[in-house]
Amino acid sequence: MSYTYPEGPDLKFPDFSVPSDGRLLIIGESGSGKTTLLQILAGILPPDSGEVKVANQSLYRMSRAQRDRFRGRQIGLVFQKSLFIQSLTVSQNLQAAAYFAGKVLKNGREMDLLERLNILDKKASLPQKLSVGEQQRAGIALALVNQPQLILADEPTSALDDVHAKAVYELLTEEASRLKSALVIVTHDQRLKDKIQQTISI
Amino acid sequence: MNLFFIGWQNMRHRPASVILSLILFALGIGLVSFLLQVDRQIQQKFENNLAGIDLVVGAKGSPLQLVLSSMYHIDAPTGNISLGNARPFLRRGHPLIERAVPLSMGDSYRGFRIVGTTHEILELYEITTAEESLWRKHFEVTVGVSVAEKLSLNIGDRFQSSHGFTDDLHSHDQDLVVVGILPPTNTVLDQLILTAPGTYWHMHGEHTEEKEAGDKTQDHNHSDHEHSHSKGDHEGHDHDSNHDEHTEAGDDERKMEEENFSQASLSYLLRQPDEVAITSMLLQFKGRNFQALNLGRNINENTDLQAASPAIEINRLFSLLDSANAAIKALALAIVFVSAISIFLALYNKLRTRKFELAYMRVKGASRTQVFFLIILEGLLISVLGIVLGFVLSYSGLYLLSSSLESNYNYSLSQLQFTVSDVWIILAGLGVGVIAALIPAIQASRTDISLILNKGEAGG
Repeated sequence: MSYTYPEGPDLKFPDFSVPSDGRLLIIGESGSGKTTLLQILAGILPPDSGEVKVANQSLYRMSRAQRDRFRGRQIGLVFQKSLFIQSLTVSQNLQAAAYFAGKVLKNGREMDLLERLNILDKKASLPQKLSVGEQQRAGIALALVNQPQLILADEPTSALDDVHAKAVYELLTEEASRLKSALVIVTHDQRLKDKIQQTISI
Repeated sequence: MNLFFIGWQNMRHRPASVILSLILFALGIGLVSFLLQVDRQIQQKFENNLAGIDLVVGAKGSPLQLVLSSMYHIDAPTGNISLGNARPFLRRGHPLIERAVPLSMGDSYRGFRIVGTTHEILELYEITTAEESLWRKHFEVTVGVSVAEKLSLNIGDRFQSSHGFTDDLHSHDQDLVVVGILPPTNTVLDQLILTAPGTYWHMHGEHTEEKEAGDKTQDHNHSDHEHSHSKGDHEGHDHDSNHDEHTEAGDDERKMEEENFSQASLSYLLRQPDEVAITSMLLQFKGRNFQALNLGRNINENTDLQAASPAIEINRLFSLLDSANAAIKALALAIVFVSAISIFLALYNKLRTRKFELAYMRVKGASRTQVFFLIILEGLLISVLGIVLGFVLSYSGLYLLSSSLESNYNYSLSQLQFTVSDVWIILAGLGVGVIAALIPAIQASRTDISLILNKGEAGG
């Protein structure tokens, strides 16, 4: 798989695959093409050559609209700094995430999720009223709410101290196991290196 | 969860940025709607009361004043004319005139005008009502529905008129008796108190000659609006107040009753002497031919009377109003335009701060179309709220105007109603909302998704 920026470096990425409940750490420094790879994996940036398959479906053979919908349903993105629709409460944000993916949340699934992430009491709060740690957990809830096959985490721990970094990592792996989803963490955070066996350095 | 809800929450979340647009929009819409309503109401009023009247004939003066006072009852009359001068037009058999209605004016009761006229006025306005509710004798009145409602008048009630159109202290001694109430007509008759022309001579005249008057009449020479009530005067009034006595008293009266001529009939009026005064006449032509159209000019050139064409005068009035109207309309449109720009700016400026949020929605599976419509929806929401608020403003303005007109002029606007023009205002308002949101929406739908991931790298 490769991608060439119009006036930039020629990036080549090795082949790899992650089983449905496997974990992969992609580690690299800034400028290494880490973000490019992340974008390609998330179905945002079509590669010049090569293929990305998620849940046995080739991302870049879909139309753009199909891919957008597929991403919403099957790829859960965890950002370094959590993103929300600022005008909606935490639980409304979860419902909106399901809505954009074309899903309807049933049986209070989002409430169970919030309870597991220990932020159930914040369900009616606006995101900006949450602490940074709570925002991080709410962000993970948003990534997981549609029960994606692939969880893509972009620098989920780099801004956190050791204690919080460990907690976030554990949450991610726990939830990935529960959903039997593949977990791919893209980071430069060396602390995660000894935690995940399958590691790619770029 | 849907786009509408998200758009709504977005608006509520930061109301400060949209409140100015909203107020401006509401003002613009409100002003346009208010103007169109007032315009329509005025036109409707004037047209309903046109009643096929081709010519108004009265004393010399301003033609517009003559039309306004005789047809719309919103100005002072130009003066009086003598029956002698009016007689040729009132007499049946005039080659050009289909119908002529004499009017005597000058008195009022608690702000409502008392008009002395014959039953022909009802034909003019095409009103049918029970015979027994009509005025037949002097001092009998039939009141319009608004008068009855406002003053809580019922059949059999008595009141005293006052001289002039305002509630001055002077009133005439003779009681007027309500004999009927007209059904709602949606014309100026709703606001009038109708009586026989003779009531005026009796109220204002000196009745000393009455007994000598012979077979011609029992009252004349009394419409000069002087009201020095002598003792003899009062005797006259007393005499007239009791109608039974009155009819029994004069052989002529009884004879007339037998002939089925009431004192409110044209023939009764025509039997009065020339000196008797009326205020004006409403004429309806047999056909609008060349001769008929020339009648007005002939009257103005060859007689002491003045003839005014309502169509021409009302057109003149409208054209005066039109320029003022156009200026306010231009102002209202300018406000709508400015508010459209402010909606545009509000949405456009918000885009900058919402860039990440929009990219996030896209990552979450929202399509470009959904993002596009979200912004359009937000523009629409502002305009819908603005329209609702604008109509509230406009309708409460109309309500206030109507009540002030009613208390000051006893002139009410007809029921507020939703019209085709309101539908157009709503559609135009929604259109403005959409157009204002169009560029921000296109911009938003082009939001670069990779943005949020790039940010991650920059941060890390």
